[in-house]
Amino acid sequence: MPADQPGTLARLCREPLLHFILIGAFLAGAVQLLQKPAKSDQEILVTPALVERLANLYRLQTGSQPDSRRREWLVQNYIREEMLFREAKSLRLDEGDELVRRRLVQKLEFLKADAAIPAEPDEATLRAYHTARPELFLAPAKVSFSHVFFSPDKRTAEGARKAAAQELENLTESSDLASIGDRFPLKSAYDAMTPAALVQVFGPKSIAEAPFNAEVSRWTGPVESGFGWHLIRVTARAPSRLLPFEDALDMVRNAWTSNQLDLAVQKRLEELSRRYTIVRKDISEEKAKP
Amino acid sequence: MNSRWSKPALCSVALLVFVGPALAQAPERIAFFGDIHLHTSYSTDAFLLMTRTTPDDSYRFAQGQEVEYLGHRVKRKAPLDFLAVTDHAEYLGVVRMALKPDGPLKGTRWGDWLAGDTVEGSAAAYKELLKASGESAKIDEFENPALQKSAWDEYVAYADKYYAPGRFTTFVAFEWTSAPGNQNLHRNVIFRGKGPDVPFSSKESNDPEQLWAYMERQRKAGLTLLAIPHNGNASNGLMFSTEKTLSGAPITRDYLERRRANEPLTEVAQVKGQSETHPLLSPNDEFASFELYEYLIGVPRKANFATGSYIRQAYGAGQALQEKFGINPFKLGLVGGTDFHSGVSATEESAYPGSHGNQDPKTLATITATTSIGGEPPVGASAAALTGVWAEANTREAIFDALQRKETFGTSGGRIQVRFFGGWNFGSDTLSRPDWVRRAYTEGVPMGDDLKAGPAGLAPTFIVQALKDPDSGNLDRVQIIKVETRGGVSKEQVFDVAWSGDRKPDLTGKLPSVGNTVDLAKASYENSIGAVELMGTWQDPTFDPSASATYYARAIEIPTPRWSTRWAVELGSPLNPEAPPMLQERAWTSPIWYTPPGIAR
Repeated sequence: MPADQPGTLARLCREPLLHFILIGAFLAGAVQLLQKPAKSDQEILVTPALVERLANLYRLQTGSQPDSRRREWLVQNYIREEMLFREAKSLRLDEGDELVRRRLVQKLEFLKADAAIPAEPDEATLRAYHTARPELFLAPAKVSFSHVFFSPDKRTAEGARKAAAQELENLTESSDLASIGDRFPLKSAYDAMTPAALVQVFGPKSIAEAPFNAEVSRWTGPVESGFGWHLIRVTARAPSRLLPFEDALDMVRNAWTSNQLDLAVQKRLEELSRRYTIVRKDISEEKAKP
Repeated sequence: MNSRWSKPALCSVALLVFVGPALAQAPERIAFFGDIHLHTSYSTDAFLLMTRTTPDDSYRFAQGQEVEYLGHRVKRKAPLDFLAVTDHAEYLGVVRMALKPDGPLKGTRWGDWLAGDTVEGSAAAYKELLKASGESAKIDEFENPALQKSAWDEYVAYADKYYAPGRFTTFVAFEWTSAPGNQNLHRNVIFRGKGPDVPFSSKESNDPEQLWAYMERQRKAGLTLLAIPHNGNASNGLMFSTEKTLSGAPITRDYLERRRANEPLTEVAQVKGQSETHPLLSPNDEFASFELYEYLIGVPRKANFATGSYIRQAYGAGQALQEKFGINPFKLGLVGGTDFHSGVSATEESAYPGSHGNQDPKTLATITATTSIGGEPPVGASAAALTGVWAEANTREAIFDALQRKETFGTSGGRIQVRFFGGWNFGSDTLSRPDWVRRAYTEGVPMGDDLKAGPAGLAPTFIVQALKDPDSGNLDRVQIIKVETRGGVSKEQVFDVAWSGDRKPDLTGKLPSVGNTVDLAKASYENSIGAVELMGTWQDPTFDPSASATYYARAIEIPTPRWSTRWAVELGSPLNPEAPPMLQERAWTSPIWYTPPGIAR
């Protein structure tokens, strides 16, 4: 945390409270990045330096580089949290624990008023939602594959990767698989695995995705798991497909309800945003127009 | 190990196509992971802590779906295979009715407190709830059988809705929440298939003998069920007491038999600490000081634990009772559960979102607090634990039966897989054989079972295999812990069986530490030390054929940052000295028991 921001810690202390009202807010750390106050209380200033810091924080948290869309999303999150933060401040949420609690509750109610649980939707509404958002109602892709394991226990992790790469070069259709690689303590072939099942067995490494992109019937790799390195050969694969409405009914109802809540919160935030001026110094004025 | 047994298996995949399934081996038991101890807003206390999740959320979360908890979207990285939601039987689901403006609690003080769904109202109600619990008093407004029944039916329907045999298993279950004088005697009750008409609540009786009577009645009605006591660590010595029954009567053989018949398992770890052992009870166990929770339930008072609180000691106490009464009531298999009051079994150390509603949301205040309503600072909570079972299939029947035969292990929240077998005739080359697991089953017994009678003059041999959690730290070592009893006197020993790297035990037999790669400033670690898999055989070098013995295995990970450290780094807070900055996650297997000839098992 930069040492040149004397108020940071005090502000952080208020951040948890804000979290209650930021329904759906993702970037927990964004409020840490509050800048020195802009000229006016009603003006929110976004500078290139701020965007850089948001991006850095994102990298720290996720380990991946935000692309331009993700960067814009980070900025929008920042603006949203900054508005709510100032609202909270104007309600003097920083004065005393009791007051904080009371105000917080009021604030929560304030958001909830709009985000009340929607009424039970009729079938036509749900069918329409199923059609409008097919990407939410997919049966996952499935893949079957064999693999050969290279354990870091006998080498280093890098040694295991190199050994796997080496073996791949020599591997032919007639290779004696029994003479290659190391004993794998679980199974040597997996059938009809979804991405989630792969994470369950192997951990969130490249082996959870690689079989879905690899050429069928060919040995490829090395791919990494939470255990070591593997060569894989995909034997069968089925892409994800849209679930028929009848099969997806519960999913559709849940998704629709959750979407209604999101929309209600969104509406509330839009009302709020009419009270603020957003100044985007990180992009040209042309683009900054909503 | 030079075996390459998975390779022939690989070829057989192709072969099977031509020769048909006849050649396929009998189904091998594989490890399934789940949580069998979780609370949602159907638990009165969880609801008053502002948890609003329902079992619906719990079952979706366990399967890897994203759900909302305290305004945050939360998701497991690795889904679970099974889940039993175990809401408190006491007025299960009733207090939620206060959210309905014209609901049944309208016009009562509870209705008034909770009508606005405010933190303050809930806090006032929570205070009243704690008071009633501490006095084991009934709450008149909730004493409404019709209301209780409709809430129970709703709750059971969730479990049935999400049961997907072969893919995801749910159980009908509840927690019987007896805590006389804040001393924890809680039990989770789990049903194999169909659930009961109504659960049994500690408002009816807080005496475990009455719970067993309820369970016996359920069996007569054709149901299959078991109870799992937990948090002996917070029982003030009552959980594994060998002095007298709760009602003050002397211990009898009948009492011990009923206990063993109803309670095959106990929870070795959960959010309120581990109950394996305490460093003061096991001064020679360098890993005993792990996730300690030393308070009574719901009050900031420390629990006594000199006897009757911790499982390792209970293993010896049970063997002493066996010498006296001919039955060991504490042949307890080990499982883990979260006991989270959040509705989400978020045991992944890197993705822990807090576990007790507004008592420990993911905030700076939670990290820095030095106390809580129950005494312990919120950072003391463990992001633990899970149950592993060795079962043939992911179904209610297969998983329940694994629980019943105690082929189970507990983990501190991760997915370490541990196998453990005992026998007399394992060949020295057993582990190098491709089919060693099948042989271990036929030539020996798995965790949870009794060693068969052995040949004279021989000491038993044990096989242990541990495979790391693919999304956590490597393994440091695997140990076997032995508790031996003869003439009423018990002693314990810890043996290192397999470990990573080329470490050599020193002259006193102590294995050097595995090292530490944790960077506290970044809450990160490297798997550059430790092992992916550890296995070994071990023959008991101190075997006394005339003494009873309980053996269990423990697999220990390399140090990794604790959840509280990860939060501190993410939220920019200093570490709270009340919690250790890192931990060595672990798994504990159910024991294998040896009983000398002439003593009944």
